[in-house]
Amino acid sequence: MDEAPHLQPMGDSAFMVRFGESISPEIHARVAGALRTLDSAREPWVVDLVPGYASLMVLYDALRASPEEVRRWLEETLPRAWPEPPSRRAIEVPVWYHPAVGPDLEPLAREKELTVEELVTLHTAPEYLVYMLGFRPGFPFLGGLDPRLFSARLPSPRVAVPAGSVGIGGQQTGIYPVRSPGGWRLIGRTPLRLFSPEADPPFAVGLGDRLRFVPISEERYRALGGEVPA
Amino acid sequence: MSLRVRKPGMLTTIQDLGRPGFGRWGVSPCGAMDPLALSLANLLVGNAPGAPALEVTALGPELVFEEEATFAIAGADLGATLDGAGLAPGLAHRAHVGQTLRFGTRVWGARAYVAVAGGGLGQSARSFLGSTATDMEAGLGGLSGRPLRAGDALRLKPQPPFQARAVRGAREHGYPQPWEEVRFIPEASPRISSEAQERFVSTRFRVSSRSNRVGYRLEGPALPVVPSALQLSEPVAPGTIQLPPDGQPIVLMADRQTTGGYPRLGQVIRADVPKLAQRWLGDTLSFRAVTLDEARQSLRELQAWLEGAVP
Repeated sequence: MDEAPHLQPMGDSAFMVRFGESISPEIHARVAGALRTLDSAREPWVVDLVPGYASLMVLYDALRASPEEVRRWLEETLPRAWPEPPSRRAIEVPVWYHPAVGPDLEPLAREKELTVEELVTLHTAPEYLVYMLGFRPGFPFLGGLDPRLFSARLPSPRVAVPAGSVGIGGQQTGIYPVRSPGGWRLIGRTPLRLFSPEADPPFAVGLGDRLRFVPISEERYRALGGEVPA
Repeated sequence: MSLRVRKPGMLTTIQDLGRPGFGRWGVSPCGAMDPLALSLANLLVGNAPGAPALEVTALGPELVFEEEATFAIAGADLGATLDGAGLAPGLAHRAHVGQTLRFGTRVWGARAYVAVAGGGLGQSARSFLGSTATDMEAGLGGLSGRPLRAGDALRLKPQPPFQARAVRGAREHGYPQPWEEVRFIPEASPRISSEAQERFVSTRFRVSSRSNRVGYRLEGPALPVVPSALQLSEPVAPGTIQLPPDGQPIVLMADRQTTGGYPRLGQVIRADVPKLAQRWLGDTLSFRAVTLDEARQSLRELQAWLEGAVP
């Protein structure tokens, strides 16, 4: 049996439930299991449940519940949680890997002493796990990156990274769902829309989904609705 | 007919109490920086406390009433006038067709809220996940996720008959005044040294000019940081106080991201979030550590004040 998670009060409106200090599928399964169990036992004063890589934040309405009451609920509910098996959903993300949409592709390949083709092969080989979403609506933080591709963030973030950009930041890889500033190294772009506010649900990718990048040609990228910078 | 924007001011957005509850999708809560003042403005015009209203920042807009309407201003005193006549915050007012609401010199505070009767100013706003709060970072809610522009017209709902409501009691400006001290609950972390904790509570910080709705950056002598190789991103809460590598703390506010990787000094207590939201660029601030009990007691008192504020 896994060690009980650590409960830490965060101010007067939240608790952090910690399951460990590392990125691993096992810890993720515990976070996801706890999320599912807390959801099903949800009390009306729960404001939000937000998973991280190895943690889960429980935000509560301090006018409606005391910290003692929240702690008791967590202590009673969390032991009923079982690690959540990985999602049955496997999502293919078509990516055009090209300097036109991935300005860091060639410099990163040179830095790693790889050809662009080798870099793409390494990036498309693993099945990634969606550990969490954060930063912007629908931004998936993906674990499973080949350590040969671990790379430092840009010294200074770009002011505007186009939606659909695929990037590498540290040990993680991910996709920018909306145009935003960003410091990750950009290696390609997907025409897939990860976030469509008008759709129901608005998010194409969820926690625990398995994700695979598939290289596509410029023609295919355009045919799927991808935009090419002038 | 509507409320017409002649000048947008520095930053005027449609806000309500935000869209909490979608953190697992990376959706920021947004909503009013000062939820207390938003609620107060709404109560003064007979709306539900969380109805959509305008959040006016420091240098206010110029708005023309194209129809008769009941409105109220609460929060900061930004020198509002209606056709040149001074308007006291904390009172319901009736505007006639063609009258202009202007803001002038900031007297105190940072954010004023303009509520209009009939259920709020959300008619022209786009709702996303149950809220019309403007999310400028993701371009959601409000007017396509952007601040007001000159020429915008905010549709009003049918106006109920005027009722002269005012904040009860003799509190100046009809709103609890912000003061310099912000209370917080410290968080023990191996990534924060005891020296950093001690210096945090003994330092007077200035609100940096790089502060915004995402967070308040605090200027002062840099606090010592503990180098850390691996910083796993973790969820953040309202009022999370982060210590980035430059040693200058950041307090996360309404438009914060849902996760962050910096070490944390603690959390601003919920009762003091409105107070912090009313500190403006260049203002000074200090932090005092309190217990959970004091935090809860203060929140209950503030809520009781709000519930009794408008008879």
